[in-house]
Amino acid sequence: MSSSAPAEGEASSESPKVVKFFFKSGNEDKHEIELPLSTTVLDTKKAIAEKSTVPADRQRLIYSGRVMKDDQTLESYKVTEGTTVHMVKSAAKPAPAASSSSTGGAAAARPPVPTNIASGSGNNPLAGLTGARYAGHVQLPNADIFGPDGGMGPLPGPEDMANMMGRPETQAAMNELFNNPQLLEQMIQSNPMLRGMGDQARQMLRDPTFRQMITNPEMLRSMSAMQNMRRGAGGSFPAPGATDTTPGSATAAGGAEAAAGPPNPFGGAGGANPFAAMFGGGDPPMYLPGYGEGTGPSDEEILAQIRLARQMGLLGGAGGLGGLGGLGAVPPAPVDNRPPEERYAEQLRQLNEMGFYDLQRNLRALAASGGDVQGALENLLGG
Amino acid sequence: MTAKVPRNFRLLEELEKGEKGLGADGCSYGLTDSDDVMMSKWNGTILGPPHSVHENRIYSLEIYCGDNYPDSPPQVRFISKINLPGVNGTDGKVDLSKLPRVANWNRDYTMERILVGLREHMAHPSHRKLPQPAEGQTF
Repeated sequence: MSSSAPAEGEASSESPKVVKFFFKSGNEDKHEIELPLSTTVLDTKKAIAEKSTVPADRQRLIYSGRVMKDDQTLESYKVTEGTTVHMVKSAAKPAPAASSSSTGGAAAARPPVPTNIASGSGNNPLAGLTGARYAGHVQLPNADIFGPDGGMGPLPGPEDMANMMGRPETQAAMNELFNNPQLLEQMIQSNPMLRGMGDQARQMLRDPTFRQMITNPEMLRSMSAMQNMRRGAGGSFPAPGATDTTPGSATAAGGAEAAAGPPNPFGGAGGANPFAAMFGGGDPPMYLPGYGEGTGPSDEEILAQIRLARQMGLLGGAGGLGGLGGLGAVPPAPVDNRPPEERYAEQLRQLNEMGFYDLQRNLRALAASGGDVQGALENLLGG
Repeated sequence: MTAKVPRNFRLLEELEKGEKGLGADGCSYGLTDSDDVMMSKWNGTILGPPHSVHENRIYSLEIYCGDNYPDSPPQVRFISKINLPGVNGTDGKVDLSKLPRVANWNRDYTMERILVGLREHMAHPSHRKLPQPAEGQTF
């Protein structure tokens, strides 16, 4: 407006006014950026894209309680010196109309299904694995590991599992799975125990130590050694010095081939019992049959579930439950030594919000329910 | 006895905090019209809390600070459609008495506290999976 007026302030009106402000995204640091006030929001996004990892079309900018529209300028939003614009990364564009045609109008009313889950597979956390994204990436079990009879035989031995987990590609796939918050959330939701743990489960699954632990081949080996020890204590005792699976599992693997037919890999067939090896040839110990039918199955089933879960490269569903249960018994697992106030901070907050203010009572109730708010509530209301 | 901070000083403080982005994560607020000398009309946004149906959504609200603010709470209304207990399903008005964090209004409470309270409310285990209208609809 003053461009034609030959005033003293001409210089300032000719050069566009710039504004130095910050942009901030989630938990990242603030970045400073300097742009003319006449810059459109779209151009601002492009400028931000150069300084961050988020492309312009996935940015949403918020300033002073308003979502900024692309065609407006910084000036129109009154962005001034030293202020902060929030940048929010939007979700990846969902696959174009993948589910709308097949499921019809009902789809709109339902809560959104994570986009990496194919529309037909419902809430199956494994669905992601079968997607093209993981093609050739994750080691889906091939026929070999199921034995010569194509899956009717025993499960692969602990060594096979450990070897598989040791492969870098398997670990990469695991990591990717654990880095997918939607999938994690589903795993937690689909598992009552994890759901009860709430945020703790989330933290645990995100914790790199935990991941390392469940993907570490050494850990697997020592776990199965532990399992064998326990099993030994149940029905008989291991031969002196036989602390490991090595002699046993070799026999088991050998026996596996022989024991075709029975779908229960832990059933009768003596050859499949890793401990048979420890008792030599013509000296069958009398506790052995008892072991096979009595104490064995429950332990074995858990172990089998762990193996299966791992095999699929993921710790979800019922397998995950077993896996976690199993992990609880492993000494190297980090024991939660935090004081209960800290450990149950989130649950305590919820109880507080619901009007239960007695810290000691709340703690007792939570301890009794193992940290499950619902259980604690019943306890508090009932007692 | 501390002196009561007058309405306009309080609102200026909140305005600065909002513009500088010093407030809590996931919430933003500012004057609707920066020429409004009474500083009554405000805009707010809530970034949908993670691990909920609201994740990746941005909710817009309008806040009206009456003459008695902060002695009386402001009026808060969702502009973006949302299905949440305590939010009127037809006009988006928020019933602050349903928000544990601000139910007993105290003049030290701020607009930010309301927004944070709403965000927590959205993330509450019994609310975070509520089916939501398609994004982009308004009341």
